[in-house]
Amino acid sequence: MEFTDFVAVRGSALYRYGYVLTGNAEDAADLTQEALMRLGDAWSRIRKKDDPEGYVRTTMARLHISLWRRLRRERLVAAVPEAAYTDDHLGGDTGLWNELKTLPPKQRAVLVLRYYEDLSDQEIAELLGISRGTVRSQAARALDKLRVRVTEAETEAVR
Amino acid sequence: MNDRSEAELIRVLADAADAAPGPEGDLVETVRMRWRRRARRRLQSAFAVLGVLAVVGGGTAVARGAFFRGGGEGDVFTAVTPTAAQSSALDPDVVDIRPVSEIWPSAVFKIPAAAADGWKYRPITGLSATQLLLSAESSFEKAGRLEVYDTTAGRSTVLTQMPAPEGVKGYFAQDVEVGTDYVAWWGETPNTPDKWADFWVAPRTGGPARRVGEVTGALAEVTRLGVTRDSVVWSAGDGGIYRMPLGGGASERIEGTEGLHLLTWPWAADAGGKDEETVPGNQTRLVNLETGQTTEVDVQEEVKGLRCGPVWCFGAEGGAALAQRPDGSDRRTLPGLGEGSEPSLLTGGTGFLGFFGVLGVGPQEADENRYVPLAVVYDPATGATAGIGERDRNGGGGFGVGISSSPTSIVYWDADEKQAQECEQVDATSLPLTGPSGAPTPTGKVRACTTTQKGGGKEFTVVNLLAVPAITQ
Repeated sequence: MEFTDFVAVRGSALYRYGYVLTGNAEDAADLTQEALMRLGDAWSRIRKKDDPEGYVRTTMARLHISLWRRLRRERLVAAVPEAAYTDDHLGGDTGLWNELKTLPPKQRAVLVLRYYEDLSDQEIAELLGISRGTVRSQAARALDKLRVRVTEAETEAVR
Repeated sequence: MNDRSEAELIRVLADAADAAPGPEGDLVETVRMRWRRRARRRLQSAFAVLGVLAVVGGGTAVARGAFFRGGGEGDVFTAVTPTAAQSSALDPDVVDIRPVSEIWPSAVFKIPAAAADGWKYRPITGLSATQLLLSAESSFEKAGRLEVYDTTAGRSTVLTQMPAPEGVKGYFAQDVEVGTDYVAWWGETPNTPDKWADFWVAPRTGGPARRVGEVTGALAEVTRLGVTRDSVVWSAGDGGIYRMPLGGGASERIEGTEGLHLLTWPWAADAGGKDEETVPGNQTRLVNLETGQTTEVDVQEEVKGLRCGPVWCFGAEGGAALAQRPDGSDRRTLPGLGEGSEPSLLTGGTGFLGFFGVLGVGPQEADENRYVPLAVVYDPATGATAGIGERDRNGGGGFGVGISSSPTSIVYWDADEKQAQECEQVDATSLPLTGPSGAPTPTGKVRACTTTQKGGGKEFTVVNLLAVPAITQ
């Protein structure tokens, strides 16, 4: 498969993942493009050895929590959440979606990887290059802020 | 009270993904455009971006030799709100860093941000204590000539023109490297998928540039460049170091360089390359390509992103910056520096210096009475720390580092560039909470601010580390 074919086929799904990671269209597009550009750089190698989609998703998660994005976001929008944000397309709990925006990037990334990408805490730890304990503490802190109840049974089942 | 279930969270995320407004435009084309925009900093982009400077046209300044952050506990610094308690990872003693103008006053200069003809300057590195190598750009990231700025005379002279090779469209000169006899650079056509690059040299004392030759394929993924008396040498993206005679001719891989990346000629490391940010790792070997001498690096278990020159290594440990010698001696961590950021190497008159971001400083902590830098230059030989730039009261700010291929001796910023803040009252619960657990949570209405850049573009404050006075021990 050629790089452009990959982008054409998988671009939309990757962008949706970026949207869930970042919470807004502009950052989602930026993140997706940046990660795809890096994939393009490494394409000849990744295509042979690795899973390109996994590579680009990992890159996106890491970029999302990385310093330069935080600083850039700071410069662009001062990271103030869009207080008036509503999304008519969201049928469900727009309150919860908006509250997700208030999480620091790492906490949000952990939740997205766990509840959207359905990864185990160990997988998240490896992907983000942090310890499993950090994954758990970040997730717990985030869930607490969002007032999401976690039962032991659920924890076991999810993990 | 926790009144939501995990199932709700799963559903909200899935719904949001489904409802995401589609990406605008052709993604393939957008990525191509981005390649182009990245032209000048193509390879630096493998390194992390520490700061932003207006001169980069709303783009980004780069820090070399950086590595991806490997995690660590503690709160993520988000740039927000002069409100709630914000955790400071900084050791107060370390935070009390004085600006470089106080630490090394003789190394700080003001230079114009543009040439008389309007071409914009981009600092590359110091040639000596009194000479700065600058590139002048006709348009964004389009370098057209090299100039030498004499800080004593306060005047710039043209070193050489940087022409595009005949018949090559969309050509951009990339990294510039200063050797003993020559200044060299390489160029490419970053807005095309072609894997192609060429190499140029000009006498270091000035004179017409000459094209050395061109390469294609994996060899054209130049990550770092060096120039000797008789060859250009470069690292390819996937490792391996190559040379091409200055008189032209076939390129060849330097024996025994598989998996090595050029640090600065003749030094090579077994870490680095284009995936530096996304594939963190420690350097375990330092190789002198002239003598073949290999130095094993002592890497402790918790250390991340260690990068070594012949004398000093810099990395991170437990969220703090770390310095040590390659043999593991003289190890020390620098609490408050480098948390969540990437160290990089800078060149000083006496060898490499460490360069770290300063994070964890909440905006409320920088005020009229307190200087908070954006980054710090650390000299492990003396323990001196010198603050770069100044964090705005709203927590932002920008700086750039020189764009030479080898570690640069220049860090610079635009002191006139201010961030204009617009604030409004918002409900506190809509703001990110960045304080540690148990810290007071803001309630009610608080002030939230948005920042835009204003001013600047006339003058740079440049630190040339080659002008730091020699240490008398």
